[in-house]
Amino acid sequence: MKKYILNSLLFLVLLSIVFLVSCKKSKDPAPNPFSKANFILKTYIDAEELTWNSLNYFNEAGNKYDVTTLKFYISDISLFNGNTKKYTSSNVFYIDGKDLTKISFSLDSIPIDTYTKIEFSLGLVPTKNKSYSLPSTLDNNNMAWPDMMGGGYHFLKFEGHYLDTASINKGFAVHLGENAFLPLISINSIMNQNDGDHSYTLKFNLNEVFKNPYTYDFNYEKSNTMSDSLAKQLIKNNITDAFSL
Amino acid sequence: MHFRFNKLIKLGFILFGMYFFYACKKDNIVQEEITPYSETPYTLDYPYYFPKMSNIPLDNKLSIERTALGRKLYYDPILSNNGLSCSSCHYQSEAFSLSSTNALPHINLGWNSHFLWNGKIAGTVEDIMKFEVDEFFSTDISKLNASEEYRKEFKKAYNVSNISSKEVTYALAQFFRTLISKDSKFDKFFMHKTNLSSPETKGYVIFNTEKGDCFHCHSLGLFTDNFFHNIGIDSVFDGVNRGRFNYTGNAADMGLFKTPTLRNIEMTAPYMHDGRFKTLEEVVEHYNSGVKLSHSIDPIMTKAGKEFGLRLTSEEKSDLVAFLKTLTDSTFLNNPTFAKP
Repeated sequence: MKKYILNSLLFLVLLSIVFLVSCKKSKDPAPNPFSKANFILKTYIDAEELTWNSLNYFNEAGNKYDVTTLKFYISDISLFNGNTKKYTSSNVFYIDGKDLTKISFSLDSIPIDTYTKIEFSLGLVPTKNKSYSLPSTLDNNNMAWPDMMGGGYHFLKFEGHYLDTASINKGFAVHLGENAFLPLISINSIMNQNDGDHSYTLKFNLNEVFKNPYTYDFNYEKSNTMSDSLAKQLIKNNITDAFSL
Repeated sequence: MHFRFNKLIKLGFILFGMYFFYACKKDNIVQEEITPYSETPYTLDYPYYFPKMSNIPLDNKLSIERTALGRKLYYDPILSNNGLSCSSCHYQSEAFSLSSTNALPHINLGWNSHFLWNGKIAGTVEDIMKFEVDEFFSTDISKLNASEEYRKEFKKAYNVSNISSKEVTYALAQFFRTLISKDSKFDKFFMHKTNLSSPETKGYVIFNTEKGDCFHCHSLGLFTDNFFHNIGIDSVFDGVNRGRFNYTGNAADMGLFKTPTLRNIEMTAPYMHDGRFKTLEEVVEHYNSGVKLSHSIDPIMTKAGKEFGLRLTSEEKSDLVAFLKTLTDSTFLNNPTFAKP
């Protein structure tokens, strides 16, 4: 009887140790294999952070200009390690540079890794660039590209004023849309996502929209690009190096 | 024996009193049951090309009881101290505006985030209603609390025994959210239920392409982008013509006004913040040849080649007006559920 009691006690002690060890293990889970990257947009004119509505900036062609509106989409974001695409997001992000609540976005479930390049479309990939394909919000509806001009959405609205050769204040409206004019942005930059979530500043240098490779002059090129294919192509080519991380 | 008889009488009185007491209490309960709190969900109906109305406060979910109460308040001069109600300056037959006062129409305001021409009230419809109740009307809430009818209705809609300005603004906001215009000829055309005439179709093309460039501010669906623009009606600004500047003090906001919806525009003359244009033809002529330059003018208004207007022909201007008139919504203008109850 005594032996039986001792055995039972021994069994209970062992059982407790097993539970204790297992509990200890649960407090020390395996490291999360995924991380999050948070991005916030900062807009520049060359090295200077943009001041809205300030007619003090000069582009490569010498046009004096200000900026009143900057709205665009980012989609099809991919992260690369070397030349290998390791991560793709199917999300579409709407950015309004003037609205502090709409200048940031996040990528979730990024595999732990070191990335060397980020790519994204400035606008909407063709599968999403169809009228009313995005959730019906006021912002998305305001970005609609009229059906009779091809449908889908504006990829970019970049507007402001410039002084013409006679110093008259005129408006410019750099609008991109339509699948043929979807810019692909590629940024070589180290993104270390090995040790948890990270935040990055996505810099948009607006002066790069008007140069490299083509020096865009409002006095000679269309100051409103929407209905001009050549103007849209020039802007598309210029804008690919306007972003940095 | 006599003592016992007195005791019995006293006991009788006590029991009788208790009976009355409970009977009265029961009456109160019965009265409560006449106006129980009730929240019958109200579902807004609007087409797919309208944005989702997502700015409804969690504590003011739409219900039939609340919208009905808001409708009653809209038409009741009890809100004011001068005999006026909301409906005194907002006639349904004029798309809830009034030509003689140039009052802004009450159309699709549930999607707005800024109110009044200069947008000085920001937020939800509850916020603009708070301004109307507390400041514009200076509503005497005690008058509502003195009304048994309103007490019952607020109890039913908001489960409150003492009405405050919050419930009044909330109920009005509910009714405003139901004032949706979505059944114009344009809507029927967009839903493939009817065709536009030749001039209307040509006008639609002008409206929705770079030729007229109306769509950038008057986005299809609500026909407003809910932003502010200087469309070149002035080059020198004073008084009310300074627009949003009067509220923000920001030079870039000089002469900017909220984009009004074009729905039922035919019914809401005169036009602009000060009613300076009496007809749609005058409005179109402004865009065609009357644009005045200033530092804050909207860039869209001064694109190369169209610095001073659209340069449309007479026929094109007429077509554009024809299209604008397709936005008249007779269902909205005559909807009995929006009328005085």
